[in-house]
Amino acid sequence: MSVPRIGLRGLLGQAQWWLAVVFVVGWTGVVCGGLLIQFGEWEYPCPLCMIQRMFMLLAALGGAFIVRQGMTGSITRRDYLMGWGMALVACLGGSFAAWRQTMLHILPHAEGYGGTALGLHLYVWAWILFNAAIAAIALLMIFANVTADRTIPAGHGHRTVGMIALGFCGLVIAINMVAVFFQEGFHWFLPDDPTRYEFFYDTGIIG
Amino acid sequence: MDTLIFAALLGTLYVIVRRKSRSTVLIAWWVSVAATSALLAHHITSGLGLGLNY
Repeated sequence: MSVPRIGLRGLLGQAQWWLAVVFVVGWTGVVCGGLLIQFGEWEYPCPLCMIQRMFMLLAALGGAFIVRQGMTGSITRRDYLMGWGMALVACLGGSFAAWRQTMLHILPHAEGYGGTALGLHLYVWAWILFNAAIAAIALLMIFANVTADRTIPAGHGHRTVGMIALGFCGLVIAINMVAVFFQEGFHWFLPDDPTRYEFFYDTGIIG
Repeated sequence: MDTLIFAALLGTLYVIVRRKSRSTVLIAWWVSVAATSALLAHHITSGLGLGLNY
């Protein structure tokens, strides 16, 4: 069976679909990083941290919509616009939440909340990433004329890549759901400064 | 509430993967956004007005 060749122009035409894949895997990966610090360094994510994770996953769902539509082989302009619109709204919400948390710790000598990565607290990284994502979407929209083909090849592993990306996203959402359930226990809200997994204390398993 | 929001996110991904109608996807997604925004508002305990004088 011969495999159709895809020229440079064809690859460029798939740029938005591939960015959507990067969006899904990237945001899910960032949330995964938060989980690694949560369980690797045994830190308790604060309420605003959890809200930023939610906005990250809401942004990933915008990308997931484009990825899923493209997996059928054809994708409309409306699909692209709807997916990126969802991602933009989520990134704006996440950027606000991250900015708010950053501002809480901006005074000189403030220690901030939780650990750091490459010298910056996770909520500062979140703020940078949300804004970088908005800029990335804007760039691709500017060049939408050549980056948003309406046909995505069904072959070339597109479907497999899409399924892996969506599966990864689903798995990480599920892990977060279970983790926050144990952290919150039978309460509506997380405490401002969590220090334990409430479920085990609510049920008497610990303490 | 956090648990319910993550459940809503999972449900939204499910309707995307199952290729339900755009309206269904948007309703699920906007419900998740509204719940997340309400949670954010709950956790912002101070005002955003800085009380600056000019």
